[in-house]
This record gives sequence, structure tokens and C-alpha cells, in this order.
Amino acid sequence: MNTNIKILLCFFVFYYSSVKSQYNTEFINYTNIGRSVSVNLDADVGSNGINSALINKFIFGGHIDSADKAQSSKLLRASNNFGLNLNYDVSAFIKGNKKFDFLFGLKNQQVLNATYTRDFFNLMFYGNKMYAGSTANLAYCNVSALRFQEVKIGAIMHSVDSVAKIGVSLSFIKGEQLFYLKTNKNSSLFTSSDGSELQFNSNFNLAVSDTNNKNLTTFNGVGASADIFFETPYKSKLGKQSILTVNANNIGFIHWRNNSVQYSSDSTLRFNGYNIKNIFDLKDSTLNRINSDSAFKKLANARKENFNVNIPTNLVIINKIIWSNSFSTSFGFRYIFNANYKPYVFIEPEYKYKRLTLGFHTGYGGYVRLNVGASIMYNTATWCFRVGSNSLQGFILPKYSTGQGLFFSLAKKFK
Amino acid sequence: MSILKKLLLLTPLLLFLQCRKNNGTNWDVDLIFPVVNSQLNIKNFIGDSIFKTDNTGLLNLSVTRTITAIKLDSLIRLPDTTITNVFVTLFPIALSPGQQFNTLPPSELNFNIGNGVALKKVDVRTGILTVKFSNTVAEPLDLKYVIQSATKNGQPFTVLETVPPGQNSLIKSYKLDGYSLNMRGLSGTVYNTIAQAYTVSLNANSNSVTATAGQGAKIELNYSKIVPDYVEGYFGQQTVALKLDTVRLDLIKNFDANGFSLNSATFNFNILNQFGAEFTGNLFNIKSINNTTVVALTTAALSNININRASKIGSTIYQTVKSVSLTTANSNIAPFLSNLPNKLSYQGSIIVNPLGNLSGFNDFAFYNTGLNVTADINIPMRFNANYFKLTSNTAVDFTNVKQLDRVNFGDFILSASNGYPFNAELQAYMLDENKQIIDSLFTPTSNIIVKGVTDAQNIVTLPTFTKLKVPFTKTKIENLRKTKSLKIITYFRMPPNPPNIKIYENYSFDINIVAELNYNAKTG
Repeated sequence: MNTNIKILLCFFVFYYSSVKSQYNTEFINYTNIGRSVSVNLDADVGSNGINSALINKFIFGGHIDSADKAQSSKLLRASNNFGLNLNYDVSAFIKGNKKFDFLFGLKNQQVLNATYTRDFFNLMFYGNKMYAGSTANLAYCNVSALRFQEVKIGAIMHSVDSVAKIGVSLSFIKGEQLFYLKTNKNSSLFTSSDGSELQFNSNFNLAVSDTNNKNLTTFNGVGASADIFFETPYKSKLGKQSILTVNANNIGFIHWRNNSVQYSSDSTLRFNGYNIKNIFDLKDSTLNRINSDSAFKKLANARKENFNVNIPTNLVIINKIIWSNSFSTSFGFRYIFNANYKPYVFIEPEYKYKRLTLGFHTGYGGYVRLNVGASIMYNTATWCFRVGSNSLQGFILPKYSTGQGLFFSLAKKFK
Repeated sequence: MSILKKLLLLTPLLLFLQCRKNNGTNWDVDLIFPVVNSQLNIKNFIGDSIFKTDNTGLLNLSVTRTITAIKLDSLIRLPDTTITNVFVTLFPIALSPGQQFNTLPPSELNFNIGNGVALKKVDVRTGILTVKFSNTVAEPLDLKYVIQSATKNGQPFTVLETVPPGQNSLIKSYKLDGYSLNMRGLSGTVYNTIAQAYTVSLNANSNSVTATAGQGAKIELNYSKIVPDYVEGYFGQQTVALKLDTVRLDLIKNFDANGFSLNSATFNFNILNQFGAEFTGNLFNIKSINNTTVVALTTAALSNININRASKIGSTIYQTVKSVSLTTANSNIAPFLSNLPNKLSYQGSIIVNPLGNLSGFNDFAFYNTGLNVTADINIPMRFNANYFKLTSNTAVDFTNVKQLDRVNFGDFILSASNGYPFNAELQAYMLDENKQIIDSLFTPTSNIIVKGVTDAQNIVTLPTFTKLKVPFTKTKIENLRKTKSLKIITYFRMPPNPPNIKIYENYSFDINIVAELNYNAKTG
């Protein structure tokens, strides 16, 4: 890993601290920023089967050498997960009246997640030679890549029973790109011992949005989603007070259209080489006679049709115990539906000193195993700045850890 | 702004600057996959359609080639024929509109065909009649020209024109296509002759005029480019020479042999006669040419070949076929064909109606039919030889095969089960745009597919398995990119012989090529 990044991250860990974030929701920050205009970035990537060094090569480019692969392979289980979320938005909480404020926002979301077998990893990174004479198990793998933009309108009631908050928002979604692949129980690849035969059991479903139009301006899908937020303080046996926060966002779907294609296949393909009729006629036509694209479409029963896909729904439940005016601890649970996400539990101790709030984060689950993070918030009457990460371990020990993330927010507050 | 605030704002910026643009991620994988799996036999090397199998399973190279063809126009040609007719008054005559002033009796026009040809009937496929009209009278004349012998759908060929005054004042061409010409003349007793008639009158819309002596009309008729669709009559007793000519045989392309000697072969000349006339033919000076090696055919079987006439019912022709078989008994055909000729030269002649007018003027011929001479060549694949050499050049272009860029190194493993009684020595040379060799695919000494196990008769009793490794290095890949053509040279090296080598239908090469490559996979 780049030395400069390590230095910066160490700087965060030891000199800054965290506030709760990296949960892909606007409402959860309302308590800190109130009426404001903010820009927010939320990025995290992780896998319980690939180390951060290898993930970084994927994200930033470069050559994955044998050592990278071998190190990462040690983490592999029979079934593994991978996830990447990148969200950024501009949001504004605008004054409504004494009881509620309006929320307006523009947001881009990118979600990539996968479940893959050890054999899938090996085939991808080592090739099929290691499977000569055996079968690589490709069953129950899936890859989902989704990119969409949304316009969000909502409101937050900030004085329910004088202390609780309830927020609701609705989003109009523009679907940009979708790639969804799911293999079923019979998917496998057999390689004969001398390499003279490949046998692919193709048992899969695939859905792809218009591959000819994939940029920010394309409108390949249309959808809607809702966010729900609830927060209430209550008296607890522990500490001075507790605050319960429940947030569910991205409850919705996208209707994919405009040349979206679905494929499905449940057949066995055997390939044992091209049959040559005349060895003196190896023209280009022989080399290029297989049009892989058309062959695949025919094989996989390709059909252009509109279809709906649920977007990954994010559920966050946090119980924050306030021990004193300067110290609190949050216990939380997170789950992302439709996203190969494992249930995630976490603890966030938080220390407040004047305008500065420092936080630590540790959790288990999600796309990774163990997360360690830290963050800082500098909050004045007019500005609020937050930066941090729930997954610092990938920056510090990329070879041995499996996740990294970053969030950043800058808000200009209004009265 | 405090230092802390500045630091807070700058930190994410610094972090983002650390994020490099992703120029693609790559890694190396070891792949193994089949490329080729084919069962090849000699047909795949030389050509599928030229082999037949006899009842012992022995392959026979069997081809038919056209040697020459004599069409109708070689026998009979209606020559371009021109005649001039003048219609003038011998004394002054006052003409009123529409008045005929000169009517000649029907006359004959004879075509000088020559060679003793006497035709009764000619159906014209295409032909042109060009007429130049002249008028020396002061007013327009109407001229009607009728060829009574030329009919189409029962109507005679008729020209009706108004000729303005002047020399060659009207020149027109008329198609004779589809007309049937009765060539028996006015009396019905002559040949090569048609009957015609003319009428000249003052045009009905002209003014009255007085034609002085010597005034009138003149027409010049020119029959040209007449192509018969059918002719009938007597074709004469003529000799048509077949000048020395060369025809390509191309029995086996790109094929060389060393010490090659056929055990046997047959060469059948077939003369197919679609003419309704008898012939006597002679073929001589026949040579088998393989580049600079020439072997002359020695035989008496191709002299004075009598060919019977074809018959017809309606327009259906029943051709006659005269076959002359050259064998090792009546010719030197085995060494003649062992020369593996790519060309054959010949000379000859044919005599039409050698016995005279046997048909009683009933010879016939249709357009595009004739006398066709073909050769059926049959060579049983039983021979002595040291080796065969097959060479081919195949144009290739690997510049757009992007996957080649990503191959680090590897091997192609060629596994072959050889069921033939000879070793196959393979090499493929990479040639640049100047046809210069820049590299080769196979490693010398590691490019031989070993022959099958043979018995004392050189018959394969068991195939032999050979595995060859073709290294695929970066250098080789770069050279492959520069390659514009692949020159593939295969030597088939025979075991000691005699006994003869025999190639059977059930012999084959089972070829399997597997790629074992270290490949650089890439994203982005």
C-alpha cells in the first residue's frame, strides 16, 4: 500500500475520531447537521475471501502477482462474499415549520456484490489448468452490479412527542446499468486431464441492461424507492439516556427497459476443439467462424424484455447509550437485503470534546469479517465536517485484512 | 481559518489525490483448452471429391477433365452476305400518290457457306439485317421488302419503310432473332438459299411527281452476325483440325513426389457426339507435362476413332458416346500419369461425314452443342515412392487477434494417432509481406508424426501415437503478428518399398491440439 495513505490513515486513527456514518442514509445525520446543505461521499469495499491488497489492485489497477493471489487464497472458504458500495450525493434539509423540515437530494449509487466459490476464485485468478482432470464447482455464485441515480424528496418530523424524529422520503430513480448473474446448483466446469475436453454445465440466469448505452445520461430503467427513519431517546438503565435509531432506506425497485436482455441456460456444453476439414484452408474464416456473442445468445435463450429488480435495501438499527455529556457508546446492527451481505453488528464508542467528536468503530459481518474504523466530526454552529472510515484495516494491513472504506461529509448549516 | 480547519478540509482532498486512475488490473492465469480435434485422412490433404473407394477399400484418385469441345460454329458458319437491288423506271412516268411503279418478281438470295455444306433449314438465334435505302425520285417512296423464307409465328419477315429522297437517305437495322429460314429457295430444290420480294410505290401522302428514266429506289441488304440456333441439311465432308493445345489437369495441386511410380492406371477418352453427323477422329501428340518433365503418350488406340451420329426426337438430342480406354496393356499410361501431370498437350483432327451424305441432307446441330472430348482418369492408390511433399500457402492476418497480445508463453500440444504407412513431417513457415520466412512453428526434429505399424505388405496393422510440443514464446507471437501467410510443408516419407504402398479408405490421422498457455487476464 502507498506509504502516504498509511500515514494519513494513521493520522485519522490517532488524532481524529468517528461519528456514526457510512450507512448510506441522509436522515441519520440530521441530528448533527440540522437544516443544511451537504455533500456526502460514502465508499466501502470488502470481502471475506479476498484481501484488501488484491481488492486495491482491482480498484486502482496494477498487476496481481502470485504472492497477492496466494495471500488472498488463505482467506477463501467454500463460499465467499464480496461487496462494493460507492454513493455520493448533494442533500438539503430545508426549513418546513416548527415540527418538520423538508429533504431534497440528488444521489448517485453504485453497488457491486457477489458470492463466489473457492473454485470460482481459482478459475478466475489461476486458470483452469489446476483443474485438469477434475471439476470446478461454480454453483450458487452470483454477481450483481447496479448503478442508478435518484432525486429524493422527503420530510423529517423532528419534534415528535417533542423528542423523537420520524423521517420519510421518496425517490424517483433513473436506472443506468445492471449486470446480474446467478449460477444454479449444476454449474460447473470440467477440464479433462490432458486438456482435450472442456465440459461446461451452464446452469445460470443473467440479466443485463442495454450494453450499448451506459453512461450517466442513459435512462435504461425507471424506478422508485422510499427511505424511513425513526429516532427516539428513552430512559435506560445504563447511562444517562439512550437513543434508539431505526433507518431503512432504498426500499424500492427499478424497472429495466430499453433493450434490457435476460438470459437463462441449463445445458451442458462440451468443447473438444474445432473440426478442421482441410488443413490447407486455415483461412481467417476458420479462425473467426465462431461468433461468440451470437453463439452465447443462442445458447442462453436470450430475450429482450423489461423486468424489475429490487435494489439493495439498507436496514440500520442503532442503540446509543449516553454515559456522560462527552462519552457515549452505540451498539448497532446492519443488514443489506438483496446484496450478499452478512448480518453486521458493531460498537461505536464516541468521545466529544468541545466541537470535536471522535469515534471508533468495530464490527463483525457484512462483506468482511472484522472491521475496525475511526472517524472525526468537527461541528460548529454554521459548518459540520465529518470524515472517517468503518474499515480502516484494509488501509493499514492490506495483505492480511479484507475491507476498507471511507466516508466524507461537509455541511453548511442554516438556522 | 484555523490550521485545524484547513487540515480538516485538505485531508479528504489529499486522500482523493492518492486514488490513482484505474488503468486496468491484470494477472496471469494458466489455461488449458482444446483447439483442434479432427480425424483427417488423405482426402483432407488432397481433396475430398477426387477420391473413390474400390471394393477392396483401396482409394482411387478419380477425376474427369474436359480436353476439348467442338461447337456448331466450328463446323458451319453462315457468312455475312450483302446484295444490292435497284428499282428504277426505264421511261418517264407520272406517279400519283400511292401508285406502284416497279414490282419485281420474287428472287433468291444464296449464302455461300462452302465445304460442301447444303442446308435445308436454319433457325436463327441472333442475326442482323442492315438495309441502306436510297431514293432518286423527288418525292418519298414506300418500299416493302418481304423474305418469304423467313417466318416467325407463321408470319414472313417484312420491312416496310418510307424512303425520303436522297442517296442512303435511310439506313436501318432489323433483328432476325427467332426467325426460321427455309433454305430451299423458290423452287424448293436448292440449298443454302432464301426467297425474297420487293414492292416500290409513291408514298400516299406525297405529291404527284414524274419519275424520269433511271429514277427510282435502291436498297443494299447486309445479312450479318447470324448465329444459328439449329441447322439441318448436309454438313459436307470436311476436315476440322484440332490445333496443338494445352489443357490444365491439376490432378493434385501443390503436390510433389520423389521416386513416384504408379502400379496401374486407366485413362479413358470419351468422345460425346451431339451432332447429327458422323465423324472420324484422331488424337495424337499427347504429352503429360509436369513443369519441365514431359512424358509423351504412346498408343495406337487414339487413331481413326469412328464416332456415330446423334439422334433426336423433337428438340431432345440423344448423344452418342465413343470411349477409348488407355491401359497399361495398350499404352504407357502408368509412366504417363506417374509424371503427375498438371497439364496435358494434344493435337488432332476430325473428319465430318467421312462416308458422305449418308443422312440424305438430314444432318443436324443445335446451338451450344457439339463434340466434347473428356478424359476419365483413374489412379488406384497403389504405388512406389520415396516421399510426397505437399505445400500450401494460406493468407493469414493475426493483427486483429487481440488475445495474442495477452499470451505470456505456452505450448501447443499436438497429439496424433497415425494410421498411415508413412511418417508425416510437418512444418509451417511464417512469411512476411515480402514472402520471406521470419519464423517457423515446429521445432525441427520434433515435428514428425510417426507412421503406423505396418506388416510385410506395407499395410498398417496398428496406428502409432505421437505427441509433439510446439513452443509458443513471446518472440513467436510477435512474429506471428507480422505473418502475412503461412507456408505449410508436409513431407510424407514412405517406408522402404516395394511392396507397393497402398492407401486405404479406413486410414486416418486422429489429430488433437491442446493449448497450454500462460495468459494475462485484464480488466478495464
